[in-house]
Amino acid sequence: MSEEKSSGSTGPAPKNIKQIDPTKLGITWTDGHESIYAVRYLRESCPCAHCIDEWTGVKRLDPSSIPDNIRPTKLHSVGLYAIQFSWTDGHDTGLYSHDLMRKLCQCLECQ
Amino acid sequence: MSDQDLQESIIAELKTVMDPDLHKDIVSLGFVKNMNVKDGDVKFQVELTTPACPVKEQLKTECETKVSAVKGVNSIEVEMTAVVRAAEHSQPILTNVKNIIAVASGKGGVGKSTVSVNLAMALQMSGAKVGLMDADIYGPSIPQMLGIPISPPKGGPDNKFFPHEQYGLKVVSAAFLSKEGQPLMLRGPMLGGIIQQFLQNVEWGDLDYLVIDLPPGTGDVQLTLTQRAPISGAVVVTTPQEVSLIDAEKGVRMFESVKVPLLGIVENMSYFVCDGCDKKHHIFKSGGGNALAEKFKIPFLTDIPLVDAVVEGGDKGVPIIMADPSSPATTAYTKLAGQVASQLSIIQADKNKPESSFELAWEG
Repeated sequence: MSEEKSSGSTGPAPKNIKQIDPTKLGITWTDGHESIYAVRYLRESCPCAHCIDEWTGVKRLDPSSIPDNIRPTKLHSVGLYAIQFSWTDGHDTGLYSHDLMRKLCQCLECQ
Repeated sequence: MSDQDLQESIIAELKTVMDPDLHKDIVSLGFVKNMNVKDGDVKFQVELTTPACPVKEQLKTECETKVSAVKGVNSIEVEMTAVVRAAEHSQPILTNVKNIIAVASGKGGVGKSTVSVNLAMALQMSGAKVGLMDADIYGPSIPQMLGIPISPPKGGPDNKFFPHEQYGLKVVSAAFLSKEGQPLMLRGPMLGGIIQQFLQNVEWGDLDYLVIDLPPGTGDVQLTLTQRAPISGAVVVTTPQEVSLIDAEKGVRMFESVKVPLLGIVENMSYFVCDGCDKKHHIFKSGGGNALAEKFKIPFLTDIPLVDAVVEGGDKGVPIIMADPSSPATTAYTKLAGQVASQLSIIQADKNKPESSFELAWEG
């Protein structure tokens, strides 16, 4: 695992995680922020060593290789710091840290 | 030969295929799945623990060669698959344990195991039900410090096993898994396997506190535990000198990055009280633990004096807290247990706690 700097154990964490519709995930954070994500964008942003080169940080995943109808099959917590997604294309090695999820937030305020 | 008999000879043959990292055959490891034998046509899957297994092709070839050589086999089809072990996290583990305390240090030799033992004993003597997990796989020393002779743990149904008991503490340790004095020489996946067993297969019963004595550093065992065990909080042990503080800081940062709450810093071997003058001699400088705690805005739990009776107690298997109630070290450990317990209560009482364990199945 290559964790860079952290925002500390006091950084925001998901308080409620829910499916909004077939292609959108919603997270309510401990600081009250509400995030919405397109699931395809999350698949494209997978941080695992297959999708991002571990040494150089260069993206190895070709977004056009992801099926249009990509969906998660399930997601679950990893320890107290990350979320793991399993996808309909069989991919499931990405651990999305809370910090990363927060950076990926697509709400109007964050973008 | 019937298909049934043929399948049995194939499995016998596959039992000679060894995983080079785990040092066990692929049948015993449970890697062989969905075997289908029909009129001499053989199909099965080999399920590895990681899709990035470096010996995947080698194992596949070995399976094919060995099975083809079995009399009665016409054709063979081996599919290599993988299930990443992190997925096991969502299984409920340690459900009867109310609080899990990880005791860590960046650096080795700072007295982490001594602190773990005496902290566990202090909590136990306060009337709590306490377990102690010696997760220092390479250098397990807890049994020695508690005077528990090395013997294999008592097994129960479903691969479960029972912890050893001493002074009212329940104890598991890798030391019980090997012969006395023999080293455990293991690679990463086996380490993870032992930790997983400690988490899933131990019949702890109801516990108020489980103290986990981590190995020094920020490696495999620490990550496995933080990913799979619902750790309530971590205590970082340091000694006062700079070389220890630098590593302790890394330990603190590791817990921060995996969001395990920090209960605080313990400074061990803080000072020596000489029997002639009652003066506190700060042999390894002073104030470092406190400064570290201030830097990260986490509690400084206590400082523990350097007392020769602590070492003697550890070597004899009677922790200082039992051997000498009047020792300044006993006073320090009792204070530590109180501080840890109250920090845990503060964390538990936090109404704005994040969702600590969830699983969501996607619909549509």
